[in-house]
Amino acid sequence: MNSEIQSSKPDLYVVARIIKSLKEKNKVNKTTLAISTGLAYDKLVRYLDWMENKSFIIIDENGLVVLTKTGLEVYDELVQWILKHVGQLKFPRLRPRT
Amino acid sequence: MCLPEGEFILYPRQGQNLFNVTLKVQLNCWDIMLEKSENSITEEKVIAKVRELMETLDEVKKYEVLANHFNKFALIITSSIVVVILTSTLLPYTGLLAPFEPAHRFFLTFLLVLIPIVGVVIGVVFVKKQINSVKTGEWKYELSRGFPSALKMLSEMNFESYFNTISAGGLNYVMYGLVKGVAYWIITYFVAGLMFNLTTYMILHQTQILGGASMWTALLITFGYLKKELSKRFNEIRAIEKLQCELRRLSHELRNTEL
Repeated sequence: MNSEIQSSKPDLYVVARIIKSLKEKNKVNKTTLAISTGLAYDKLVRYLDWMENKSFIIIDENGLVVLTKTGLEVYDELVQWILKHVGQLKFPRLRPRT
Repeated sequence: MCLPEGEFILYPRQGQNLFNVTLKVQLNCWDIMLEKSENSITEEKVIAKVRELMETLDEVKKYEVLANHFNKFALIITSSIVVVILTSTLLPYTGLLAPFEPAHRFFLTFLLVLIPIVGVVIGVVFVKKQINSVKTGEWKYELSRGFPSALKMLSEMNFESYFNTISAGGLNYVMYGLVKGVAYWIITYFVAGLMFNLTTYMILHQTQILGGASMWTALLITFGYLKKELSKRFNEIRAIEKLQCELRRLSHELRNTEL
């Protein structure tokens, strides 16, 4: 397990990007996933290790990354959570007066 | 395909109708498609809300520019006011208007109103130019990449830096209206003077018989204007501060979220 992810919290954005990519592609190898998410390969591997420990993904015998039901649920919960919080924001109609 | 291969056999069992089996498969597909579209609608909602937030923050940037350039604006307006006061005070001593009749002298003096008008125009154009130079919408490309990018923008946003200047410069924004109000008072004073004197000249063939009426009228009009203007400006600043509190809370929650 990577020390960067272990010591600090994983970047939600990176996790969301990986899950979104997996949602679109189902099974995918790590190199293709690194390209589609725009992540450096070693960084992706560290995140995949962390996500596998959390049961968000599984890596099959062929080395293909597969999104689990838990991973999908976490992503949907994250979207709902953000919507709940951002949805509460009320933006004033601003227009600076000169 | 909506469902994994080989999971459904489309041959009818004994006593079963092929149409029913096909329909069942079709309904299962629809369920999955509906679920997927619900999720994407939720993601779209988040993106729409973040877009709204970013547009609001773009406007906040303009307030920041306004607050930062208040000093220059105030200098332009104040200079024009000082110039008009000095000119109108010193003009009788120069003797330039001596050859004219008192009535004509008054109407020529009225042209001095152009000085504060030009001052206000220059000041407003200067500030508008500064506002127009604010870069907006730089986030549009990033946001077009979907929910993860919206999440990235939210989590990486430094709300404090956006609002610190506004909190500090809120007073400048209100003062901006006040300085403009003083210039408007001078202009209204000249215009009201012209109107009153035109009226008395036409009726009584005399000017400058109403004393300080034009000054008080101008003061009354300006007071009415300022009351409306300043309360609007205060409300805007209050709305920005309220938004700042909400965003600070959101930022705090985002940073403390764990999967």
